[in-house]
Amino acid sequence: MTSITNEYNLQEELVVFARNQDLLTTTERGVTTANGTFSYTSGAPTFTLANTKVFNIRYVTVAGATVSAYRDFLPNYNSGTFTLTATPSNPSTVIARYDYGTDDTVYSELPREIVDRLHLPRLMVRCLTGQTEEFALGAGSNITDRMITFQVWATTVKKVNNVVTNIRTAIIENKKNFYNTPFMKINSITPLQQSIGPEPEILSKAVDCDARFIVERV
Amino acid sequence: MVKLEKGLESLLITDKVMNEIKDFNVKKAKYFCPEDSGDLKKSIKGEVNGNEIIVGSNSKYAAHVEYGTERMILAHGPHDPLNPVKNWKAKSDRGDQGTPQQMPFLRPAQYITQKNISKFIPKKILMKVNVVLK
Repeated sequence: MTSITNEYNLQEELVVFARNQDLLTTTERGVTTANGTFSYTSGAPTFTLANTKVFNIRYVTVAGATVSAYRDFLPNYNSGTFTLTATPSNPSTVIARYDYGTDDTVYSELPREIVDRLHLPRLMVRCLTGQTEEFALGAGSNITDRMITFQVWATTVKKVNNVVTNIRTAIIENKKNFYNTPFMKINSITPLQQSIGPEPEILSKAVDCDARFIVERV
Repeated sequence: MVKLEKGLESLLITDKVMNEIKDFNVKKAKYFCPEDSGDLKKSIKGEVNGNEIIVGSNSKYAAHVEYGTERMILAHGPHDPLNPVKNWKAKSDRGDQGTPQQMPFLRPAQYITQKNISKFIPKKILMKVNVVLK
């Protein structure tokens, strides 16, 4: 059976990871954290969160036990729903803790036109490149490494460095906790970039990581 | 400028190997580099300095393409020397990227080069290393 990494899920997992780890605070992101509590009795185990623009689900518990994203539940941030992959016992209390709002400052792309210095700090997480190699005799599997970058923009050196510290801490503490990549290590930290011209400056740094050992069966 | 880390003992590295790795890195950087006028792509150069390989560009806006500058450029008016980046539109062979945005090309090239560095070591040297290890 072919098992190819879902690119969308990988990107989504990285961004949600950055949001859940509070690399930028909820105040800086402009979002609100809320709980959704559901009583499951029967039917499809899909649950709709009360607030429409959901950016990240921090955790889900089923009958008091925390379950894992993508393995035990599938989030759908477009519709603000999540679906358990296994039907829970009847009855069960399902709780989801999530962030919602009108906009967020943690995304998978560079700040665009709507952003100015008033909307910093801002964080981007995305995959820059990757390489796939054959992994087994008989061409039955391949192995992929990917370059993942976390880049922060802020108006002070202190803020940039604080976020870089947050990123490094989060990666080191969770290096084996991702679903779509089994291992993540920090590769390098880029020099501080700064805008030219009048004050205040926009400052930026990136933490480049190596997502390794993504084995896919063919 | 991006420096390639020293990954191997100097005994295994000859000038020929170093130059091959440098050329590979430059080729990859040019591949990843977005193209408008082509000036940035042409400016990518590499050099071998002892056990170090340095690949980069002396273009004024190379770092801003690498790390993202749109708001920085727009914030400083039309006479900014980096203004060409303002209306950047990628036309590389990776497809039209559309809107101006950060398009790293040096760091991905360095990453791919690091992943492939062992392929540049001559096989006869690797065989000798194996014999020593046995």
